Amino acid sequence: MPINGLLINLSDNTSLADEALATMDSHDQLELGEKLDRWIPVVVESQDTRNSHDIHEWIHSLQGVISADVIFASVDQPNSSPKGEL
Amino acid sequence: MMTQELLERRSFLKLSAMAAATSVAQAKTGGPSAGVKDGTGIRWDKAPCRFCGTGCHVKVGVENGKVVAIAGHEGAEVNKGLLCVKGYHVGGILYGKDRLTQPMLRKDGVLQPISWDEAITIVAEKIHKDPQKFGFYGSGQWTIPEGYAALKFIKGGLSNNHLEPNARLCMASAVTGYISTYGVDEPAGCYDDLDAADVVILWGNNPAEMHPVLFSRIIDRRTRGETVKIIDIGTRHTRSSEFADSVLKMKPQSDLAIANCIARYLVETDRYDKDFVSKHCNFRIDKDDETRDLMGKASSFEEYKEKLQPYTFEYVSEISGIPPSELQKLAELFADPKLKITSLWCMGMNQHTRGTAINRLVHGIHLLSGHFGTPGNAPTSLTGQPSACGTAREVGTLCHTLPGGRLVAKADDRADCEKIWNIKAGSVNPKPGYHTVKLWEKFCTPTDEGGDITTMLVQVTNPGHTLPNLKKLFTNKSELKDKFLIVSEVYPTATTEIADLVLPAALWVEKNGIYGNSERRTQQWYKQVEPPGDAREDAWMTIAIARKLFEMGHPGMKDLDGNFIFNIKDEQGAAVPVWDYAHYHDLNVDKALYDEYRQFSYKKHKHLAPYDVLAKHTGLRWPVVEGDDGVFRETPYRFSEFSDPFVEKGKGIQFYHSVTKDDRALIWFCPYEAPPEVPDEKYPFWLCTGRVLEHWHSGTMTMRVPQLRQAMPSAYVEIHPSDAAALGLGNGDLAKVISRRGELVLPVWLNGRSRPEKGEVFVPFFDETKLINQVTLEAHCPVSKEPDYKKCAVSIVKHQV
Repeated sequence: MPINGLLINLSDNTSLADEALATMDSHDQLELGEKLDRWIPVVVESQDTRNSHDIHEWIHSLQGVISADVIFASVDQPNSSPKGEL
Repeated sequence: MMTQELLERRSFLKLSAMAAATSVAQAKTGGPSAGVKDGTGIRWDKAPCRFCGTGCHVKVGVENGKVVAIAGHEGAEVNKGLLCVKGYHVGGILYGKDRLTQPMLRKDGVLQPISWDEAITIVAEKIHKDPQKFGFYGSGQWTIPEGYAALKFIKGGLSNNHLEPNARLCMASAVTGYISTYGVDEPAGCYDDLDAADVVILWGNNPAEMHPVLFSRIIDRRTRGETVKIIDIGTRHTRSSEFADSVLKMKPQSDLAIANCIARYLVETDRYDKDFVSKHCNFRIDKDDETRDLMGKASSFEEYKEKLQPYTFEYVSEISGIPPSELQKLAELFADPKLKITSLWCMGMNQHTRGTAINRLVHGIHLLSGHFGTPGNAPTSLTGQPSACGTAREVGTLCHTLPGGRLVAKADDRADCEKIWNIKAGSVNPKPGYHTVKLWEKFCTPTDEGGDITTMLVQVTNPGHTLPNLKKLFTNKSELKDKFLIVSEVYPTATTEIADLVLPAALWVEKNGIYGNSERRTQQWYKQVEPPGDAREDAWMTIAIARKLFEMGHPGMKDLDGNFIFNIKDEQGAAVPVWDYAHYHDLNVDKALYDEYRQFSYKKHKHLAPYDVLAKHTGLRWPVVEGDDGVFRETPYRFSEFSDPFVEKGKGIQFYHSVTKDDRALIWFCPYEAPPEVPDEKYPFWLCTGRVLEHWHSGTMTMRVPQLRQAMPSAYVEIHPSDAAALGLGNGDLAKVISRRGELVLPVWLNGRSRPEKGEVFVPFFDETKLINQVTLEAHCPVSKEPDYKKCAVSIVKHQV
C-alpha cells in the first residue's frame, strides 16, 4: 500500500490549473495540501504499485498539470518485497 | 482488516509525505522550509542517493531498524527536494528477499556456506601464494574510504598496481580529456551553470533519463518564464530530444568532425575569442599521424588552423548527416560572445574509440570561443556512478594512479605516498598495472598462455554483466580451473554466477560512507540500519584480508615501525583491532581512513573538508578551504578568480596545473577517424547500448524494487519502423541481434521510448536475463582505454520460437 508525496507544478493558464485542481480534489485517493503560487503538494495513497503508477500517469495527463515530481515515497515492508527473480 | 498500529503508521506516513511535499513547495516559492514533521516514530537522517553521479541528497526514514520512507532533501543544493523515480525508491534496494547473508565457497560446483574466518583466510592464502598475480576490481560505487583502503592495500602493501574500477568503462575518457587540456582532472564548472546558461548542448547525452533531476533543473527554468535553449546532438531520438529546441541527428562517431567544424568556423571567420586565447591557451596536436598518446606535442596557431581546413560545413555534413545550415547555426552559437553555453556529456562521448579526442575537442571549442569560466559557460562531463569522481578519480583507484591526482610513474608522487603511509621507500611499483579490458583478458586467458592474473577480488560491481565482449573477458574464466574469482556482493548476479567465493556485503546506509559526485561535491553519511545476516562492510573485508597477510608474514603489510599498515587508533591513541569485526565499530573507521586520505588532497589543490565538517552538510565542492575565520568554504567554479581561492589576484582565469607550466590550457586538434567496426553487408546495423530511466546500470538493485521492475521489466531492441517492416518485424516480435562476438534474442519495440535512425538499433543493458554485452565490442580509446559500447556492427533477423 504505497504512500507518495507529490509536488504538482500547475499551468500558467488559471482556468486549466483550476480545472486540474478540482479534478484531483474529487479523486478519493488524493489528498491536496495548501497551494503555494503554482505548486500544490499532494499525497497519493494507492492500493499497490500498479495503482500508484496509474495515478501518477493520470495526474500527468491532466491538461493543467505541467509536471508531477515525487518528493516522498514509503518503502514497501521487507516481507512484501519481491524475491529476486534474476 | 487493518490493525490500529498499521492505521497509525499509515497516518504518520501520510503526514510525512504531505510535510515533505509542502516543504519543497515552500522552498520553491521562497518561503520557509517546513521540514518533515517529527514525532511519528520515524527517525530521519541524510544520505546521498545510492544511484547515479548527480549526487541528490535524500532523507532516510528509519523505524524499528528498517528504512521505511525516503524523501528528497529540500536543503540539498543539488536536488532541492526533488528525486527521480529511482531516487524515491532507493530505500527498497535494501530489501530484496535474495540478499546475500553469508560467505559461500564453491565446492563441487555448488556455493556452500562457510564462516567469515574461513573466507578471509582463503582470500589471503590465494594472494599470499603470488601477490603479483592478484587483481582487485572495484567501482565508482566504492565509498571514498573503501576505495582508499583498497588502494593502500594493493599499491602500498602488495606493491601491485593491478587495481581498477569499473569507472574505466564509463569516464576514463573524460579524465584523459581534462588532464590533457587543463593538466588536472575534473570539471571547472558545476551544476549552477545549468541555472545560468542560455544554451545547453547535449553531446550524445540523454539527461532526461540518466540525470533526470539535473534535467528538471533546466526545464524548471522554462516554467519560470526563462529562456534556455537545448541543443540535442545524438544518434537517436530520446526523451531529452522531446524537450530540445534543435535535434541534430548525427551518424555514429561523427561528433569529432562536428566539433572540428565549429572550431574551423570560429577561426576562419575570425570570431574566436582572441583575448581569452592569447592570455590563457596554447595549441596541441598528436605527435604524428599514428601516435595517440596523452600529451601529444605543441602546435602553433597556424598549424592548428591548417589542420582544421578540411572541416567545412559541406564536408562535415557528409560525415555526420547533419545539413550544413544546421551545422552553421550550431557554430554561430559559439561565435556569439553574449550567449552563455554549457556543454553536457556522459557515455556518448566517453564510451568511444576516440573518447579522449572528442573530450579534448569539446573543451577546445569552449576555450577557443571564450565560453569558459563564468556562470553558464562550461564544458562539463557527467558521471554515471555515485562516486566515480570521488573514489575512482580523486582517490585514484585506476591502475596508473595514486591518491589526489598522483601517478605511479612519477617518483615524487610515489615518495609522497610512501611517506604518508610510513612504508619503505620503493614500495610503490612504478609500472602501471593492467587497465580493465587487459586485466580481465589476462584473468580469462590460460596461465600457460600468458594469463598472469590468477586471483581476482571484485567489490561493488558486476563485471559479468557490464564488461564488453563477455565471452572473451568474463565467461571464459569458468573453463580455467587455476583461476579464482572472489566476489563481494549484495545480491546474486551474473558475476557471482561463476564466482568461486562469494562475500556478502553491506549496502548504502547499512554502513558509513562518503561519495564524490560529478560537480566535485563530497558527501558523507552515517550508518542507519544493520546489514542483514552476516553481511559486512567492504572496507572491513579489505582490512581483514590485509591483516591475515600481516599474520602470514607478508612484509608489505607492515609499516616502517613494524605496525600493521591499517593501524587505526582511537582518540586516546590506542590501536583498535578493527580487522576483528567485533571491534570494527568501536570507532568510526571511515573517519580514520578519510582523515588519512585527506592529506593527499592538497598537492593538486583538491582540498577536502574535514570529516566532521562534511558531516554537517549535504556535500561540499572541493577545493574546500579554511578561511581566516575558521570556516571551511567550497569552490563552485575552479580556475576563476571570483570563486577559486587558488587563482592569483588579477589573473582572472588561471589554469594553475597547466601541462605547459604557464597557467594555460591546451586547445587540441584531433582528426575525425572512423570507428574500428562499421556496418557491412553481413552485419548491416549499428548497435548502440545504454541505460533506461527506471534501472540503474546492471539492475542488481533496481530490479529488486517492484515499482521499478514492473515499470521496465525486460530489455528490448528498438529499431526504425521501416527497417522492422523490411525484416518482417512488428512490435513485440522476437528479433535476434547477432555480432561477430555473440547473439541475443530480444523483443522488438517500435516507436518506443527512444527512436533510432534507419540502420541503427538500440538495446538497454540493465537486464540480466538478456546480456547485450555478449554482442558488444571491446575496442577502446588508445589513450583512456575506455571501450566503445555505443557502436558495433550487428545483423538483425526475425527469431522464430
